[in-house]
Amino acid sequence: MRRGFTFDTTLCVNCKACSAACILENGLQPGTRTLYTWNDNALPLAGVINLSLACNHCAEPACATGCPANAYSVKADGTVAHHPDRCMGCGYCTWRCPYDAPKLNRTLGIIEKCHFCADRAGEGIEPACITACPTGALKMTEKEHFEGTLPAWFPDTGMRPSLIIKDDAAAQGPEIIPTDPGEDEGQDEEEEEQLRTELPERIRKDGSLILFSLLIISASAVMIFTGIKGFKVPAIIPFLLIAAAMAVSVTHLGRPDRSWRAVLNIARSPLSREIGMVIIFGTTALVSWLQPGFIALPITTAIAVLTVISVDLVYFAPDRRIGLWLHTGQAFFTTLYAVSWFSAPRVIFIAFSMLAAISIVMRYRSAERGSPERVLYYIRAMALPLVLLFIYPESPASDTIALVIFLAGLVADRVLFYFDFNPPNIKDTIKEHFNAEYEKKRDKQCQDAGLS
Amino acid sequence: MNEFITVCPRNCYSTCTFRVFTEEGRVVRILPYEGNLATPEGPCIKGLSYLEREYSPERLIHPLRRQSDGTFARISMDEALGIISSNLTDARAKSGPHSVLVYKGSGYSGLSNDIAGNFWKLFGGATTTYGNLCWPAGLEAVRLTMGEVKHNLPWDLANASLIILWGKNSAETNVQEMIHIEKARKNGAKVVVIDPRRTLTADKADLLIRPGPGTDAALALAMARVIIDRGLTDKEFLSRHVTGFEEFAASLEMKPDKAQEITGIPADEIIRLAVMAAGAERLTVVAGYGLQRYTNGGQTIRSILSIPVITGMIGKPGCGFNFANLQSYIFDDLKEPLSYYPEPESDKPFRRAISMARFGPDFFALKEPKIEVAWIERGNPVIQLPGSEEVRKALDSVPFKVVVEQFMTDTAVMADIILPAKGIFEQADVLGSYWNPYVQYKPKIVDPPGEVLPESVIYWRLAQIMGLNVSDAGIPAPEDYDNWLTERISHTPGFLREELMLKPVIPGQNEHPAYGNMEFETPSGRIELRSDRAVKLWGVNPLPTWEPPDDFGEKHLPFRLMTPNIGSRIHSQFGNLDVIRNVTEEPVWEISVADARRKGLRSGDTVKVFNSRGEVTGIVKATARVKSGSLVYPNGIWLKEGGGVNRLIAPSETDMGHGAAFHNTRVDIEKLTT
Repeated sequence: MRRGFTFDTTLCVNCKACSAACILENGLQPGTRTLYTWNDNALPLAGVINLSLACNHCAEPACATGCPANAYSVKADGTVAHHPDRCMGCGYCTWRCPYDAPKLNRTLGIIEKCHFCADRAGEGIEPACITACPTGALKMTEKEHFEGTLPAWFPDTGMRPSLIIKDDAAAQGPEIIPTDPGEDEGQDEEEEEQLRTELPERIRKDGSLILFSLLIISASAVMIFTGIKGFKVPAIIPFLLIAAAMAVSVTHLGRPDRSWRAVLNIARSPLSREIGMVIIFGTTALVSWLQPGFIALPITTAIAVLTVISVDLVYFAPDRRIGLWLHTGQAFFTTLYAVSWFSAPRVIFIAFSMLAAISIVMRYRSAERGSPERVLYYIRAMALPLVLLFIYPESPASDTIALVIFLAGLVADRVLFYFDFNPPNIKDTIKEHFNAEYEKKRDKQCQDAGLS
Repeated sequence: MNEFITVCPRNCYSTCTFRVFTEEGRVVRILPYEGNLATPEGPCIKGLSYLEREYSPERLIHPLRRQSDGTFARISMDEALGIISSNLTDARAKSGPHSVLVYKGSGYSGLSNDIAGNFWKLFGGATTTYGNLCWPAGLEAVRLTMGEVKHNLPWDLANASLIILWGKNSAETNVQEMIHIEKARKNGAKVVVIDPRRTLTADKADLLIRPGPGTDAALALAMARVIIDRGLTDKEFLSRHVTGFEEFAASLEMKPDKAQEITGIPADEIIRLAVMAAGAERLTVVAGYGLQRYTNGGQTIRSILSIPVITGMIGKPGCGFNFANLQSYIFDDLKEPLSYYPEPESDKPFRRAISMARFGPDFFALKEPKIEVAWIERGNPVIQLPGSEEVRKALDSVPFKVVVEQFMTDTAVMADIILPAKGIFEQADVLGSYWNPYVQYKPKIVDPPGEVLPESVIYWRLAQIMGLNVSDAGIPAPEDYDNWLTERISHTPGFLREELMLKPVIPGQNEHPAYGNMEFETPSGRIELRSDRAVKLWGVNPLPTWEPPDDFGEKHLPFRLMTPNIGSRIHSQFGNLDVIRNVTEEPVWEISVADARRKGLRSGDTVKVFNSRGEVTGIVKATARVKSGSLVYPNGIWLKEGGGVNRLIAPSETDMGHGAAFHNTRVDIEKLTT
């Protein structure tokens, strides 16, 4: 039998006792159990939906399969348990969980999540959130399979959450007499506000990852050109770049002392595979520097390309959208074109330049979302022709300028990548659903008003 | 682990019973107590937060004395009590006992509070307050009409076929009532909320009617008129049990179209609502307290109460008028609201009293003796009283102030001596509730931390130092406290003390359905729609009427200020705790979408809200939860959190019962350019 939470939306009044109880009982971080509300501002025509969510202890838990350090296990009763002593704090599970259940504790440097109040389970007492709920909206259920237990608006993530949501289809919000003029239009300014404040926060958070991927991409590009005659870059460079990348990735961990655990889940975790590939690539680069030609060029090229792909798969596993591929492809082509500039045949250089330009054009959508993205996008796009402009004079000064512009474009591109990278979150999916429902109702009301 | 059954002693409808577990003398867990049928699930977020509140590092656990530089320094309990007793003795010797002001708030309920009264009697009297901030207008309105203030058992709500929540926001102020409301809904009942705001409770309703603030009586009287005009009254009930119906019917000039002008509710909707109410098989009207915090508050409750009365929805299961149920207050000689204004002769030599609602002006109008010493316990008057700036000035003018508190509140920071107050688990007590029908025993579960003493012990020790003779004065020595409590509850009939020690008890004299025997303790012995006592005591119309709410000369200001209670606090309590702050949002000024547009405000803007009394600043949020013409800011926010909204509120009483007319206040709002 699996254990799972049962939540009754009709009884929940958004009092947040469940969130408070979770903090008080387990000392876990605020948000380990979160109360989401849709239509919090109570626009007429629509109900207000409250949803209290912690971990859903899925039958197919993406957090556990993706964990490179094997810090998760699944108990016989279905509890998806996280073992703090095995966690290296990479945060990969926070990308993979669409329910936002695992939370990175920045003080301890490790992940924390709901464990059905393990201490209480030993005593036969229900979790703190359940015993705290003053209206009985939250309960525990034991079932063989949790299937068909969710309302239509709850997105199917394919992870088979052990969750029951009772939803009163009639609870569409009250009929309101009288409504206030204009109140059905609502306001979406708050969200814009949030986005604006997000940029520095994201760069701070993802800074080391941006640097890591830049270093890996550069290393592979240099590696690929190493064998070409007349290539001016010293042979030690790929190895140095990879060594730097590994140092950066270790410092990004909450618990760098446990970084050795990163390869424990090669069988299932894209992150373990990536680290594995980086190690192989680093070893290859080292050998190629010490014994040039010891490893054949096709093999080093293949390893370099595979490493770049393995980096991409880390992102692609939680966020399966084509936009990301375009990003990385572009970065890769850009790198190749930049490196090719050191190695002569202009025709190769221009060919890569064209490929990079195409992928930038295809990604125009990125620029449409908000002001930071738009700026980054234009920096990225302008960098290409500007670099070309400065390359042809062939003087050291213009070469330097070209290099600076090129690097600026590449950094902008990587930052933009982390904006585009948006692991699915059911919070957003549900919001889109209710917003769409609301628009439909409003349109219908306008139509009705027009007819009468 | 040791297990105890206890009860929350705050000023709250729910008065939840819950189970408490200790480990090595420390409270470690709180679980629901299913045996209380009113609150069978978990306590609310505030009840849970006792796990933090008891052990918060911010809790005051030693006496503190104000230094000359304004900071506080720890002193010993002996020193603190010595300073206090010499100040009290000096003030009494110099200017008489009335030079001591005693202010008691509603922060802690229990019979132990009697000891405070006993001490000040023994002291020779004091200047105190009369009235109450919360609910007296409504209590008095119900008492005048029905004789007693009571209603059916809370879970009987599940039997209603129509529930009208009139100005009551159960989801935030009485969260377990939602259990019984949802049961009724599952049984097919309709739920109507009448409130200017779309509250969290309204989110769960079938119908939300939004009259303008202060116009509820007009809506109720128009509904009564429709019910009477259409012959939908319960004629047999009226003839047998009601006095003054004919006069009431004849007086009703409030037609739906007139009410539409006043309330903003379309006349045909008023008719629909009236017909729905009259047609309901079992109607329960649940009235909140916000709508009677107006200068027309008592008359408003009388008007609303007329609807279940004329439709005969009294004294039956699933029916009634739920304002307050005082049936568990079996140990009180004098029940609310009478206890708020005892007959002057009953304690004449004892006290001089000023109005709680008009504390500031009344304080400055005091003739000799002037106040030399102020003693404040269980309350935070600097935040909670209307006209709070005058209250602060009044207290500032008092040479010596003692505040008994758990935390450094805005009132505590004004003290000369702060005595640390007991926590919920630190002294045994017995309490009733105004919604929960149980009488409950609250055991002592842990020892007080640091030098904390329960007030009963503080008073006993003060009496010792001051040489007052405590024998037979009702001020027990610390070791005699439990006997005192036992003795205190032993003389009330219909009630088993032994049973009470084990679990919450519904006293034998509890009547359900309330008024089921059709006996009404009014002068006529019947329900009094016409009340001569209303005229004699309060000078209001003998019949329920709608009076325009007073604007205190500020009719030109466009917004009515509403300061409702919110779910994460009991007035000014609990908001300082980390766990509450972690899961709730910062308080904001809520404005309607249309008003925000008119005023050029966007959510997140910094604003100034002002009237002739002063101004406060804060963050604004445009929301469809608020009706145009009103601004909403929660009650009880501390100054350091950006609160202190009560400085805008005129110190003014309600039409009856000496309540505070909080919500008459008018204000304007302006964007602050930074």
